[in-house]
Amino acid sequence: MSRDPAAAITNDIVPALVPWSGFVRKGQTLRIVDTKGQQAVDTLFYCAGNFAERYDAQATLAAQGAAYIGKGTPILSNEGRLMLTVTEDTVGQHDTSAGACSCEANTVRFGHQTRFMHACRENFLVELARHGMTKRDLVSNINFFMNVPILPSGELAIVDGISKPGDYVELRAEMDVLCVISNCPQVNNPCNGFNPTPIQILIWDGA
Amino acid sequence: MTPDDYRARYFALKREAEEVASRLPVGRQVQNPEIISPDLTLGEETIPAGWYWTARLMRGQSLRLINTEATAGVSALIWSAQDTSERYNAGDTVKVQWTARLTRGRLLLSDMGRVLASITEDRCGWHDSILGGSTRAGDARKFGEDPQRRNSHENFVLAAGKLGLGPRDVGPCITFFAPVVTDAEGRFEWKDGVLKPGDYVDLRAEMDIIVTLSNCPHPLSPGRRWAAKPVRAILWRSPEAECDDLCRVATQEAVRAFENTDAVAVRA
Repeated sequence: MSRDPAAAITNDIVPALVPWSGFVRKGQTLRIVDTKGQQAVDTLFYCAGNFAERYDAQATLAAQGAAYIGKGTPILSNEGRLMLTVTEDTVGQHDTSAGACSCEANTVRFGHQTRFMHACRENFLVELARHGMTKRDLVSNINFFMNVPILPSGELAIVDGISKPGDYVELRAEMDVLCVISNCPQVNNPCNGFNPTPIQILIWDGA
Repeated sequence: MTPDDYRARYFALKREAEEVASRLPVGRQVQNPEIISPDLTLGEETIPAGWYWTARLMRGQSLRLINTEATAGVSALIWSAQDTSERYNAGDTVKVQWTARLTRGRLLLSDMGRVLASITEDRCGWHDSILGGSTRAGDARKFGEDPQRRNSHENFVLAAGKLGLGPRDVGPCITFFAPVVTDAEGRFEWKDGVLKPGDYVDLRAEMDIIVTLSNCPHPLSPGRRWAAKPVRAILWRSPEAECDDLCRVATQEAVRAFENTDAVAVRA
């Protein structure tokens, strides 16, 4: 279903490299647009009334019996409750097993010379702090538009993204949630096509 | 560096990881004893079906988890004993090592780019790093409601509570003895017939850690009825890791993770 951006109650351009957060109320629809293609959008959800209840990547995958987020995936909390449903997806599959990049993990993956490069967990900690949260609240996130096949051998790697300019996902909130995003700054792997770009966030009232 | 330089380096690292994986293990073999003798034993416990158990390990000590009756999954969370905000990070552990298949020679990593524990022995070879442990809601979908039935998520909340921590400190976990394979379409499959009574895994602490084990069946465990069996845990005094230890030198990522870990340990 095509929605009218002019009717959106939120229509934000999030520049490359920076975080974003906002509340999505029950019944509202959140759209995340990969404006230039191949841009990982690291995303976390928290229950608006109780941030200790939050997105649970492992419970979400166990419940659907499949390794990637896509159209129809029920997004579950660590209490097993339905937080959101993926209602549209023009890409096909999104990672939720590889987590967010950090300065510390970068040193291990790519060498100690990468310690002082910007990373998603720097974005997340700043944005979570605005809502009274800390590193304890950082759990495995969804990586929209990030392509991480898990092979039958167990081999797992971030490979070139498959999203094109303008591709998007839509999620309908099934409860009031706080959405926290890091528009991924990583250039050490292909998750952003080695060139981070802006994204667009839209929220609509009602179905 | 240009985008092309970054791309070239990334795919060089990926190729090297694939080569190393094909010739693991490298480095000196760790020879753990088949039976932990009483003089090496620091403590032991039989964890009943459905229950949890928490242990503190100093750097260099090991935990042997014995699947005495081939139960279908034992989930684990690990925190740094010195700073519990540093804890097991499921995403980094699989991403940094380029594999979700964690077995002998692989590492369990914290969110701070350091090694919590090494897998120094593995007589099972099948542990799940993607799907986590059981939850009340998941078990209810699978077996029907039962307010008495225990699950890993609530076990972890209980264990965290007894450490003065809370639900915010319970994140993604790893489940030992859980043979899950992802097929070519991305569907998860439980591999039947690989769990054997008496299989064990040894974890060597590479910093001072707190480990909680939850003995509840994995979300994908087969069978229509909830059925866990007791498991045995032994804390033991393991030989100190040497500089050519398998877990330290198996990959260049491991070398760097230990550089980060040792830097803190030496200061402490």
